[in-house]
Amino acid sequence: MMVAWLLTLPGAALVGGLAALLAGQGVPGVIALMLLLAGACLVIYVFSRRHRITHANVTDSHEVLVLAAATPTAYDDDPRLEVPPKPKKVRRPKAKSAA
Amino acid sequence: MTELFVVIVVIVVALIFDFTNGFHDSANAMAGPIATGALRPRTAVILAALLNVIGACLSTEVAKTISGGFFDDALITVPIILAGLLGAIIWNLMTWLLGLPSSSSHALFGGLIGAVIVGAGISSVHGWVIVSKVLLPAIVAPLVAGIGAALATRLAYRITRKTPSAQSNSGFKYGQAFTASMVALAHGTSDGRKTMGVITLVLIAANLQPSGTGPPLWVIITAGLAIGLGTYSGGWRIMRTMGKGIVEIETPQGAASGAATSATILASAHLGFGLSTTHVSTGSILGSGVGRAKAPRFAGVSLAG
Repeated sequence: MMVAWLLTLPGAALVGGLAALLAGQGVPGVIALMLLLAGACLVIYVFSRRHRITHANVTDSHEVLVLAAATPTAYDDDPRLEVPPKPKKVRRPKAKSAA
Repeated sequence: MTELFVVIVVIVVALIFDFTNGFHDSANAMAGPIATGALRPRTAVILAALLNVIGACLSTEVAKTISGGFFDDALITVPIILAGLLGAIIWNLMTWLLGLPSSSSHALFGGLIGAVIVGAGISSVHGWVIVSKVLLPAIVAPLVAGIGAALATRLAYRITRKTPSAQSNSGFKYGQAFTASMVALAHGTSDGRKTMGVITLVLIAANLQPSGTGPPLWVIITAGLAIGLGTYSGGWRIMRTMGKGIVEIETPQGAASGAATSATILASAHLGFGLSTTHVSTGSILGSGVGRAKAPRFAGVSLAG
């Protein structure tokens, strides 16, 4: 994670620098840049769908998988397939043995 | 005419960046309470989003310089702002895909620096400012917050060691929800300002607004809404990393780390250096894990069932 922190600035700088090449080309460059941005967003979004993390399963695991998922909707040990929905409004924590 | 087109594009892209900023940093405030069950995920993001919007509207003065002194402000042109925002958005999305809590401010600065290097050459960037404003804070901020969180966690466990954990936990849940809300508010204030600053700068550069004036009302509202919507959409991937991936958080730890995060952010904002919210809260979460080294670890308590 420290690596990611240190990479963030130069990484974004690289993308920003490349984008500056296009942005300097006037209106056609700006339009091309917008198309590239839309494309990149779409690609990343599609990748994210391969292993979805939503409000329903956010605390089920500690790993964020990108490519290792089988299908977009269900994966190995998908807790949503087995566990009933969380009971509402429990004031006290459940017994530890229940886990 | 073409200039107006470019200005509109930049404003739209700035709002998109604001949105990614929101969902990238949603976890800073809410990963803890969601991981411990102090707040339910939906409730947590709605609360964080509302506080983000309120925080963004609270900030009356815009960040004076978006460049942060990395280079001469005169070098900033509208195409450079556009390129910088683009780099920041793409980097934010990629780190989100990998679930990495990286700093949105660094992404924005990085994008701008890259654009300036291409536009004006590498000599126009002040290297030492990058060291003093990026590298040092990136080490110091998580360290300070982490030590604070470790001490607060140790204290929290010490104070409540004779209290039945069922009782103290329900108290700590309120504490955790409260400190997380403070973080969300502080985040809205600091990061909302950045986008407002960018948009205002573009409007001034295009002579649509007299220089030296603050952001118009519609800029404040749209920027606030964009960051709030981003926060509401969750950024669940980063939420998982911060809530579960670093350490298993319990409610006392969550309350302690949230308190350390908001104290560090508010103090540093008051002293005038902008720390990355992400770095601070990651450091706090790590520190809260260190602080619990001697405390019981209820392995396997499942929040899902």
